[in-house]
Order: sequence, then C-alpha cells, then structure tokens
Amino acid sequence: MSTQTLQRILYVEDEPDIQAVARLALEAVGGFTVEVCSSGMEAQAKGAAFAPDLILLDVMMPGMDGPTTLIALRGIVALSATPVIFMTAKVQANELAEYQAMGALDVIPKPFDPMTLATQIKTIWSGRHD
Amino acid sequence: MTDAAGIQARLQALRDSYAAQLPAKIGEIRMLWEKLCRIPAPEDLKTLHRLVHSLTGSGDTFGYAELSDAARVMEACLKEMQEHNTSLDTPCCDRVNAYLQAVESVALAERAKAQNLTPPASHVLPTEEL
Repeated sequence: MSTQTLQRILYVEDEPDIQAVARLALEAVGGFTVEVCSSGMEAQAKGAAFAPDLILLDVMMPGMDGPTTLIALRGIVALSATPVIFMTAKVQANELAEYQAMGALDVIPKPFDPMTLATQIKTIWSGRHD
Repeated sequence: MTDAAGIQARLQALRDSYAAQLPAKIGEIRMLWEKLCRIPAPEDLKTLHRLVHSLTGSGDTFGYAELSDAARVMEACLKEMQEHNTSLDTPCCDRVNAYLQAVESVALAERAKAQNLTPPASHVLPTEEL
C-alpha cells in the first residue's frame, strides 16, 4: 500500500472557461498545486517536468482526445504509471468500463461542482490506496 | 483553511464573466455559419464544430444546462457533416439554421433567467422545440 500524498495535479482541458472554474476548485478549494494544459500536445510537452501525482484528463478535446492523450503520456517514462482520472459529460456504463480498462482510476462526470470537486478527487485517490 | 465566501465570490465573478461573453460567443458562431453558407470550407466547418463543442461543455458548468443540450444537438449535426463531408445544400442549411436558432433562443432565455431578467418574448422557444 502506497502512502503517497496527492499534491500535484496535471489538468488537461481545452475549454478556457472550464479551466478557470476547475483551477479555482482545485487550487483554492482543494489546496492542490495545478498545471493546466489546453491540449494533449501541451500535456506531453509539460507533463514530465511538472511531475504530477495525478493526471486529470478531459475526454472530449479537439485533436488529441483524452484517451489518445493518455496513450501518449504513458509513452513518457516519468508519466508511465501516474494515476489518471477522466472527466466527461454523460458517461455511459460501457465508456466507464473502457476508460477503467485503459487504467483510469475513475471518471468524474461533467458538469462538476466546483465546491466538491477536490473532495471527489481525494475520495477517489484514497480508494486507490485502500 | 479556505475562505468559502471569497471562493464563492470568485466563482460568481467567473459566472458573470461567462454570461457577459455569451452573446459574443454565439455571435461568432452565427457569423461563421453564415460565412460557411456563402463559401463552404472544411477548415471553417471544423472551427465551427469546435466553437459549438466549447459551448456544449461550458454551458453546463456555468448552470446553462438547456444551452448545453441545444448546443450538443447542433454539435452532433456538425460532427456528422464533417465525417460525411456533407454538402451544404438547402435541407442541410435549414437543419443547422434551426439548431442554431434554438441555441440562440435558449442562450437568451437562460442568460436572462440567470440575471433575473425577463427574456424577450420573441426569443422564447415553444417547449416542444427545446
């Protein structure tokens, strides 16, 4: 059982308005250190240097979508085992299973509540270590 | 310890900013769609899809659920047009126009609701069209 604490989150989301709300939810409410990337390409470029404890990935993004981004990030040695949570709207049961099969810890549905997002993430993180 | 009132104030500022930007966002979509009808161009269709996708994702986050739903319908139509290289003939244009009008109407109504204003009667869609 790992005792690694959750502090650094790499957040990949293409929509600037949602980025702003999530940043507030994660930094001000959750107390996390957050690096926001607007695309899978940007996450590939910045991810290893940021050394996240957790990657939070939007599913629907133009260009590289979330699953494609995850595959790309897994090819980077420093990020090959970093836990991932997907975020998406209207997730279906089969999609949930598909994302979990890809190694995602869980899927957080959108829209998220900015006041409880951090708690939701901490709960998922804790479950991982149970 | 977080300053809950401060966070709520920052969230409200983000909501206000989103509401203020909404007419411009939808105006940009309208302008691009009209340009596409005059001069069809795959790149413009891609950009239009991207703008509408952005509205789908952000609407829900800021409490504009009906706007998200209306934008999602238009987004699906644009995605299908991209995938099938659909020509912008009259039936197709009429269909997208109807979806865009629904997005515009819902946006006006929800924005007015969020700001405790009465929406202009001419922009309120009959329930069956929503």
